[in-house]
Amino acid sequence: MKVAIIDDEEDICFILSFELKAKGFHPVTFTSALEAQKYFETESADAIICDFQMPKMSGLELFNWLQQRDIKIPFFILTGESNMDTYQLLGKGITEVLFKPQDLKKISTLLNNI
Amino acid sequence: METNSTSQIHHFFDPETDLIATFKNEKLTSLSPAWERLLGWSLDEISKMNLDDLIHPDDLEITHKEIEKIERDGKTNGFVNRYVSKDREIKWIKWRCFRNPLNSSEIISVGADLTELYLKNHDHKISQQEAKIGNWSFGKVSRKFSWSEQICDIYETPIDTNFVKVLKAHFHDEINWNKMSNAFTLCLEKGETQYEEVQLTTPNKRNKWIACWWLPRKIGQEIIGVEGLIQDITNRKEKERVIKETDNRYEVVLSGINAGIWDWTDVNGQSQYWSPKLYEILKYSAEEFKPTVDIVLELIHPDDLPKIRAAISNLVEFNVHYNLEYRVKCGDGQYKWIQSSAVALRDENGHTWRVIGIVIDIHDQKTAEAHLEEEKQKSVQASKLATLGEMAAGLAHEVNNPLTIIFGYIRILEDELGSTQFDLEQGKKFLGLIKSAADRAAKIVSSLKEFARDGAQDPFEDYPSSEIMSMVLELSQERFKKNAVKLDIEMADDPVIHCRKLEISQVILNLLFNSFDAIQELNPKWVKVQIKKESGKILINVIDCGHGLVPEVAEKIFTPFYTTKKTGQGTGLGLSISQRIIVNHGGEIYYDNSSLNTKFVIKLPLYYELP
Repeated sequence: MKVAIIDDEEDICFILSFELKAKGFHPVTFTSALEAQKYFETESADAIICDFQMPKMSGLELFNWLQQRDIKIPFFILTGESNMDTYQLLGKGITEVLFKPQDLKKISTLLNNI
Repeated sequence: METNSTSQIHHFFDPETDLIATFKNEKLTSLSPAWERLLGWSLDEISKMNLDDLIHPDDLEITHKEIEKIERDGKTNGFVNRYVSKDREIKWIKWRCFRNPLNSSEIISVGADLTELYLKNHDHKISQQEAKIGNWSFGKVSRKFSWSEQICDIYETPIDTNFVKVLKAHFHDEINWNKMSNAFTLCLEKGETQYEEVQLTTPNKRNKWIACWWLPRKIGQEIIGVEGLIQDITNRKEKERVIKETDNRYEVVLSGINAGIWDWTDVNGQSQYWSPKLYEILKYSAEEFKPTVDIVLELIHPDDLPKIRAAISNLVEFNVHYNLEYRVKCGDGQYKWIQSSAVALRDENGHTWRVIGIVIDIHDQKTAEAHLEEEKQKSVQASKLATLGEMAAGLAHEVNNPLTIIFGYIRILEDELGSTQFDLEQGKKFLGLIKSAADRAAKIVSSLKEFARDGAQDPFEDYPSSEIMSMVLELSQERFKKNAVKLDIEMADDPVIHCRKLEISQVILNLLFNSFDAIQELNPKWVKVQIKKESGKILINVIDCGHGLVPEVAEKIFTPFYTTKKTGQGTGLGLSISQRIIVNHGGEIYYDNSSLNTKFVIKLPLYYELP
């Protein structure tokens, strides 16, 4: 199962991919949404774990771009924000909103439930 | 009783008008008919009475002495005594006595009634024209008034009018009239001397003040009538009124501004005069508290005393007037703020001999000012906390990221430690990453804590610009980075700023966030902070990629509560408080409309360069 990890914090990308690899997933990491956007022009994945607030392009902007392209991949937001309007995001089609710091076990459980 | 010789004597006098009495061996032998008219008794009655009973008791002694003299020397030089008539009137009689040349055993006394003359003389003696004194008298038995011309002058009535009627018509009101009649009655019945000042209107419609005396007329203990004196005191009353009015005017003016007066009447002495208002202001009792210079100095707040001592000595020595605000301990033990100014009176040699001061109660004003200042301080803090509130979401993000990293690496390390192929070097690297993430979180939290502290009372100190900016960046750079806003700091060198670090950080941060909010829709987004020393000042420019403010907005931005942000996103206090902070630093903050981009300028003085 291929999981795209997008976070401008390199450490977070590393930690997530380390964890997911250990659980038998195939993570691909991007430190910006623009990079990921470029990737999804040609490639695909089974799930996306994406930071919300990032320079240049935010997680929501990436999600909207994918929607426009009709690319339907389960989209998890992993955010450090504390006042996120979760319901609004879920209404837009976001699969789940996760808050940092996040129990990494929960992420693999969620991915397995897709 | 009449003898031939006496009849002969009578040829020299007019028995109808002249008082004639003849004595033989100290016994009354004849009286002329004039006695009847004078004393009101018939000659028969008189002859049956002891003559001494007719003489005023006070005059008995002199009368007897004179009679002795006649018996001895055969004549007197003449004397005056008073008789009391049947209707208890006093009669002044001038006597001339001599031996009957035809009958040496007979003494002839010829008296002249001088009563009218005496009243006039008496009048003349006591009433100087300018004193305007008139007198009147009232006989208890005769119930008759008599009065002098002066009285008529004062009351402005013809001399032949009815005295009581005149008086009654003169008085304004019943109260005054009752005053007069009570005084009269008391004097007549109880023999008590009375004094009143009354106001009346004369027939010429003039208002007059009259002082009245009622003196009992007595024969021994017996009250036989009332002697009255009246004086026109209208001029005196008018002067008193003017003085009182002037005094009142000053008193009103001074009481209106809550001012008291102190008067150090002799600078070589101790004692001071305090006006009633001053006693009132400082809550002392005029009966108990007698101010002296030493006591007054002791009342002054110890912190204010040196400046007061200096001011007084400058005033006394060099005539430098002062106007100072200081605290004085009041009668209730509390200190009160007063404003006092004083002037020195100097003699022709330039020596100060007297100092007079005015004291104004400014306590309420001072406490209100202090309260207002406190409120202002609170609003600075409140606005900062509002900024913090706006920042809170972003700051949570900045703490949560390092925490995610810390938890993540710890989890990896837990797994690794359990595995057989644990890579020690990699483990160490993870620990280092945990530490740096923890440092990052700690730094944010400590900056936040520092920023949240109320720094309004901090001392002014010298801070390198970099130290101030590092605090600002700690609280802002993540937010800028995440939103792709380029934040540049340009510092030519690292100028030292003499300031309250927290307050200056607050101002810069406020400008940065204003820019941040304003340029959200623009692309690319950038904000620039420039710090440099320029023409003797510290210059801090905060410039963003915006295209300036429209004039209507620009002119209102420093007004409290003015905001262009959405409700809930800004208090509208940021810039007004920033302005106050900068002004308190002796600097200025303004919007520079000459710049193509939106530009705010802060100028601070270089205090540290002052000698």
